[in-house]
Amino acid sequence: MNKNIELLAPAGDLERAKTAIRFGANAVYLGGKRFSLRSRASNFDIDDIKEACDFAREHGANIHVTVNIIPHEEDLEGIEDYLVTLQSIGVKAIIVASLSIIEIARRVAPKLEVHLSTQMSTTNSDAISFYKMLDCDRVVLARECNIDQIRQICQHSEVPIEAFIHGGMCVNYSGRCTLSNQMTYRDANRGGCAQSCRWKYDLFEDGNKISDDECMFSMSSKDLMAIDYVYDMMDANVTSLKIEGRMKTNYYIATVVKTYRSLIDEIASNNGQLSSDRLAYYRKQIAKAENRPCASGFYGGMPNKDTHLYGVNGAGVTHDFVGLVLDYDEVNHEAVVQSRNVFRVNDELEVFGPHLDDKSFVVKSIKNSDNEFIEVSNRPMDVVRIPLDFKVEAFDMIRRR
Amino acid sequence: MINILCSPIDELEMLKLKEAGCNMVLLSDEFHGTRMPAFFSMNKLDMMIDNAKKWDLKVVIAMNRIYMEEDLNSIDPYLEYLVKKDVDYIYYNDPCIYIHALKYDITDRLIYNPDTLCSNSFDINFMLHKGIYGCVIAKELTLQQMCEIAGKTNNSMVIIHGYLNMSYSKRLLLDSYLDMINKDIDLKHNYHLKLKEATRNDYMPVYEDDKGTCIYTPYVQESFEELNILIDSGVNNFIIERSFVDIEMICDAIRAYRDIESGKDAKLIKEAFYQKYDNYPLSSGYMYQKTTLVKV
Repeated sequence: MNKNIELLAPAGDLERAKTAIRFGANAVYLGGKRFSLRSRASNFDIDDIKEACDFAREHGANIHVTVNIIPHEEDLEGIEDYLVTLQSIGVKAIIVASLSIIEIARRVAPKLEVHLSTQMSTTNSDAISFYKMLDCDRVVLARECNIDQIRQICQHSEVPIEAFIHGGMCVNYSGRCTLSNQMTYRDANRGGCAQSCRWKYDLFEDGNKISDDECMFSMSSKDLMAIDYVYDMMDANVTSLKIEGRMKTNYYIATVVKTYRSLIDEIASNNGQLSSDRLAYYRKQIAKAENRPCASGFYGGMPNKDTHLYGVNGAGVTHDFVGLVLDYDEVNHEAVVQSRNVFRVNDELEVFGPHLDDKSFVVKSIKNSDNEFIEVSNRPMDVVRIPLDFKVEAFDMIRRR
Repeated sequence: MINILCSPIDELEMLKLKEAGCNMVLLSDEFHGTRMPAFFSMNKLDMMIDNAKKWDLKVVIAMNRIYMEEDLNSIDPYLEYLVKKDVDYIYYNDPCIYIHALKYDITDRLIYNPDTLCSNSFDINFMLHKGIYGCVIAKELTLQQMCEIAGKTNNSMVIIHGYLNMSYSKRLLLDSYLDMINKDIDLKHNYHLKLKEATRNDYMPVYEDDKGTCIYTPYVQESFEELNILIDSGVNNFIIERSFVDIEMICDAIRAYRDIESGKDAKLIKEAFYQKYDNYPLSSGYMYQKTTLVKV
């Protein structure tokens, strides 16, 4: 069993990168301003990437950078200088979906690890042998593999394997879809995906409508949640477990990373699969973030109607993120909190952090920055003080129970 | 003379295609190929290959599925069979085929068609240097981009006609949906299904089998006025997609492309074709339409 399995988290900006690392990610992947998908994620400039690398190094973590566009002729201009820079500022690995970018990276920045993106839809060990010929250091598997196939691939693969455990799923083979190009003239493979698969469609046979107006056809997949399969992945000797979501919030990253970190550590300590009660606990923890409806993707077998979304597509929130702890005043037993959402005196809240599992409390009072007592904190980013009879740390997060 | 490749669904069609000017046929068995208008049993495939050779047609075999780990054992016996049949080319999507082709020293017969991935000359030349015959240029590129790539690569292939595949899902999307709404529709070999986005008026063919679900463009690509430009830029191999259209339309299109190749007026031929086939949503597709918009 790989007890040292890497937990790899996404980050859309520096704050989220630091949060992921604080909450237990061994590595963070992020996109630069160029050569990366997810054009709407607030991608990093070089100074930000360097700061992320420095922060990661201080905390024993690594930074991977997505260089995962499927390039057109003109897109490769400047790629060599970019890769050399990434290498020089301490990036551990690049995630790539172009054969020529692999070759360029090997030539100009040989210290960078090259990880083959899931955009290449790798589903078998012979395809991995091909990428081994190109000197790839890691292959991110397609999300279409089931857990038995992952076990088999790991047995036969000459290259370390990374597999997704959480987040959004392309309903089509990643990197092969041009629905967005057709519907919106936005190229999914160069960062413009409009997620046209999640739209509503009528279905016709020989010109006759056979779809149901109350439940139209859609290709929207439920998001992936692989709590039940983390043990199998560790047992199969998968190298890295990846969370999707460079556009997700800081609170989402903290919640999901913390949950999987704790799960991995408990499985390693238990030396085996956890009880159904413990797995249920972790599923409940994950549900506290603003997830879309989740399922286990292909891991348990071919997805069916229960793993697709035909109605509501959006994320549901079960707990509001209400504040970020900035400090703890040990003399007055007060948490100094940056407010993020409305909370009131007598609200029942809970705090969690990198070194703190959920601890609940009732808000006995709130003091604003002028040291005045207020009944409600309703101005986001205001700094307030609330009494707490247990110690918390900077960057712990407070949420509604 | 340029190569024109198309996929017949039987011997009769193969003859019709040959008579129209097609000189390469793309054939598939039931397991290794996907997104084809017909999948042949091994006996039938054997006959189709023999007849194609008898009729001086080059034979291309589709091995364009994405293989799962348990599928790998099926590749060597099939490649051995294809070597024995001395087929001309093998159309593939998954790089595992390259690894197996190395064993049989037939990488020079491979044509790489990974849908979207051959979008620049650097990636294509990377594969050509690995010894394969050619690559299919990504279909969502403009004419100018395709010409630029063709000018820097050898044996590039371009899809010029037919409904174009837009997406390939391993999921049984139609089966799941019909289950959801409790409707029983026979999906096997059902080429009569179309999707329409709720706010639009065009219809996209959709097909599902045990390998997954594929959705096609709402238009039929045509490239009459672009053919000679592509030839001049270095493209010598052209693909015509057979699925979802009548064989007569396909044969007329092949005849039209041959006429244009021989110097006849492409504009007039195009106009006549549009008039005759006004029941099809003909379009020049992405030839003049970049798909590079980004939401900001």
